[in-house]
Amino acid sequence: MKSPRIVLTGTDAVEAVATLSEIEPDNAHCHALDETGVVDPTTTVVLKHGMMRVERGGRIHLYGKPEKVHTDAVARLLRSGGIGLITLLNNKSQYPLRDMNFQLHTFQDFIAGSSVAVGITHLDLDDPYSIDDYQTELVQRELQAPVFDVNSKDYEDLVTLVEALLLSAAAQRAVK
Amino acid sequence: MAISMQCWSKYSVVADTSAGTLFSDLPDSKLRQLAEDSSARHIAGEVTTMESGSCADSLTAGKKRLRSYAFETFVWDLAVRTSRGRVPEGTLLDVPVYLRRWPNFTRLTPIPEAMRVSAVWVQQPRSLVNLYETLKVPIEHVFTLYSAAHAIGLAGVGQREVDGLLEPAAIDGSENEGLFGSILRKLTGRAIEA
Repeated sequence: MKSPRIVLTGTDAVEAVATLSEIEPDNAHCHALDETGVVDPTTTVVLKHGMMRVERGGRIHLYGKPEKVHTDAVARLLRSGGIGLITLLNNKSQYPLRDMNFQLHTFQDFIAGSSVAVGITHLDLDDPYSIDDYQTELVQRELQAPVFDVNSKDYEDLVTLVEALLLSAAAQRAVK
Repeated sequence: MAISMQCWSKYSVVADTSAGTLFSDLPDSKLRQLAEDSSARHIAGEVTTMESGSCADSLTAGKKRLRSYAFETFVWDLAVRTSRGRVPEGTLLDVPVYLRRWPNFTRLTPIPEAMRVSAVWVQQPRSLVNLYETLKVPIEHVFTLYSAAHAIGLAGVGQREVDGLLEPAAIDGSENEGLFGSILRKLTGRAIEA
């Protein structure tokens, strides 16, 4: 795997890339794919790109999907070749569980060959949805994933989520 | 329902179970003593119950400076301090136990190796001895993680008969190269090449 990548979607995904990245995030311009998977030269998708260094000189590329960019277009670009998907959800939004299910459904091809981790932002004790509610939805999709309370501006929160994603992906590969 | 307990006659711990919130004015030193003193039963004073809604009124009336905690955060922390590498009395070390979901590690007192153990453990029930032998982590870290996860209701003995019949899946950290090979070797406790 020459350039392993993690895709971040959902609330504050671009901000999260900026928080995690060890380089100044830049814009990655990619030609979109149409519904049949053929390159559409007339349409460009712009993702926020960052990078993390890991042990032994390795690098992980981070791609954050701006909220205005169409999710389907990004999902078609990123069907495979990734370590996993981090989806960030605002617990104060009107339908956060529906938002998560939409992200997971749209990126299902990408997730099928990798792993997923969920970050919940703006989580308070008296909110209608708790981490258990997100986990229940994941179980119904037959996904085993870390779900953590995070602040998208907090480096330690996000690094912990990335570490869990990596360990989860590795464990799924390792358990025979 | 809320439960109020007096400690050392002057400190309060009020747990509002329906709201998942806990209020306490216990200083850290007293919390540590509560966790470490095996004869701590004498510390606890009167225990009273009250309606969840009257919890705030009671706290206001007392005019105490109580800190609020997420119930899970407080209980996990107390369990980590109390466990100190041990498991609850009666825990069978060779019986498969489950981890229902990943603990919310960004908001919980850290336990060494807990993320590495959880990544494997959450896949299927395993005995604590199996986790220790498979992952080659210090057994006290496995025990502390189990104690804390058990205290907040995330871990326990599997109820399904099949959990005791299935052999835990083997862990293979040798096949993958590159980044995943590195992570897998870390996951399985194998030395990472320089």
